[in-house]
Amino acid sequence: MVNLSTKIAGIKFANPIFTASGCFGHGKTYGKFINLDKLGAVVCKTITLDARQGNKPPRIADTSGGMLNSIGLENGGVDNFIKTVVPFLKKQKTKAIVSVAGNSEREFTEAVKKLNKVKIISALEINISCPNVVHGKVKGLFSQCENETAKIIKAVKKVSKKPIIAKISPNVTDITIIAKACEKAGADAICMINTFQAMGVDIRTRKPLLGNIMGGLSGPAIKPIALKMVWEVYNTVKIPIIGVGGIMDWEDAIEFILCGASAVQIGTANFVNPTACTDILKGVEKYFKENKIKNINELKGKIKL
Amino acid sequence: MKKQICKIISNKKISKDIFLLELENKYLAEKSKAGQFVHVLVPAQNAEDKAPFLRRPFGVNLVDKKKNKISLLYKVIGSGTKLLSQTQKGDALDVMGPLGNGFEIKKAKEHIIISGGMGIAPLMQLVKEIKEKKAGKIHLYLGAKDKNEIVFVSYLKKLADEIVITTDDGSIGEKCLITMPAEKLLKQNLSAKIYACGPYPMLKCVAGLAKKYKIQAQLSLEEKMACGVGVCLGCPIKIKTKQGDIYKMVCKDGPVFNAEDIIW
Repeated sequence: MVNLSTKIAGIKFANPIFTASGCFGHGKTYGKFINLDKLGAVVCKTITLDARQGNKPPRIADTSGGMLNSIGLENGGVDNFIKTVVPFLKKQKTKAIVSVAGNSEREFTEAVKKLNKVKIISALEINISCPNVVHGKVKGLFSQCENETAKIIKAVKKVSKKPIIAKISPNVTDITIIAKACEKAGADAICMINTFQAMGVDIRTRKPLLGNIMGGLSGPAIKPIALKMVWEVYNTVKIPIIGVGGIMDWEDAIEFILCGASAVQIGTANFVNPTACTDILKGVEKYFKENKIKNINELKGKIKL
Repeated sequence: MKKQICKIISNKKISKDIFLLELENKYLAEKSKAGQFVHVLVPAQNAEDKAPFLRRPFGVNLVDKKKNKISLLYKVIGSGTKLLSQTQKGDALDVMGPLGNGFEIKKAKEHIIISGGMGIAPLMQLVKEIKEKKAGKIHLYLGAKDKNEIVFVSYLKKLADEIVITTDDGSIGEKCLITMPAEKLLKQNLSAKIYACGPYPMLKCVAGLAKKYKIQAQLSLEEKMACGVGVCLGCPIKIKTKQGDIYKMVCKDGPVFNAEDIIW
């Protein structure tokens, strides 16, 4: 048996293939296409303290090498999540990571406090980078601002009984500054990157492709930029990195690990190929075997320069 | 629902820009019902093709359980349908399905089916199922831009008790909106059910007629989709519920909704 395990924030995951928040629900639907137990972790769709309706349609647009979305964190709220989703998660062998967002420090900490009580949750991913919602009084996104990033991570770290993963935005001048702020504020790991702010126009109607005008770009188009950012942050911080951004196949996943990722998340690929996660896992396993890699650390950040 | 590689039995042009694609697949033929759809990964044919990144949803046009095949009826509009029209007999197509809820067929004296343009695609299977179930009389109202969009009339004539055709340019049938002759029928105070698929303005008008004449109507909607299975929450439609107005997903909760529940 190949050892694919990876350790992040003191937790041992069976393998480095995770799902990306918002791209897998909480696993129930894609569980009809793949065996969820095989995954390293399922990262659930972002939840907020109170239910949110999300943005007006259209919320999706196809674009060269990817897609635009402006879902707007539609979710039933944290209480509804505990009532309706947690019983399903309890039945799964795979580790569960829950993504949390909020409009203020209080919204983040209140949601985290409620989730503290749920044993089945391994870690919390703090989404301070969704491009499709308002981020309190901040002009852009929380994770576009060093101070706001630090403030929220510090606040959730203070109340959380679970490890904290900070999910950050690529829409910044220097992502290492934000990553350092996360580390300094006590984050146990960094998940990067969220989508790139983007838009598209229908030239026939001259209307934006998205109802919210702007949205987030994901898919293979962003992979090279995500890789570059993971590599930069890997060389800046000591905490583990979970790489995400346009991973479509196992080769992409290996690239991220070589650039320093301790694990990867599969997002948009699921929409195109509902068996993407397990297909990628199989490929990664084969690569480890063929290259006689005994531990992910032999590969992590080991680009030959 | 499954993701499968299906073999194309045929892909023929049947009218200007309109194609009929037949797929061989036992599972899809067994499971698909009227109003459901399949999510197709359209392949690039040449290096310079701008293939769509996401899958494209197509309503199931006809199901043949005996021959293990389903068909898709589509009009070439954008790059995805253009590439799909270039696929050939023997090619493999990556298909997810059947997806969505489909129409609910209950016995009624009269079934009034209203189609606008390519809205006929999923309604053909509906006509077939109502006929097979002997669920009642079928009145088929076909509206289109022009005569090129009016297809399969001789086939449909065998199944429907009445067919009324209108076009925007009068090239076939009366030159008016299809909802106009449909209303004439609805005025007769019938014990009926309405089903419709077509452009939004037509569906909105049908919903208005259904309310006016107090007849239940099932409308098949469309919206831009990514996953097709209710995961990405990308295809919302606002629906009235006891808990208030909420977004439901066209792909998973629909594509067929009760007209009275839709907030336009």
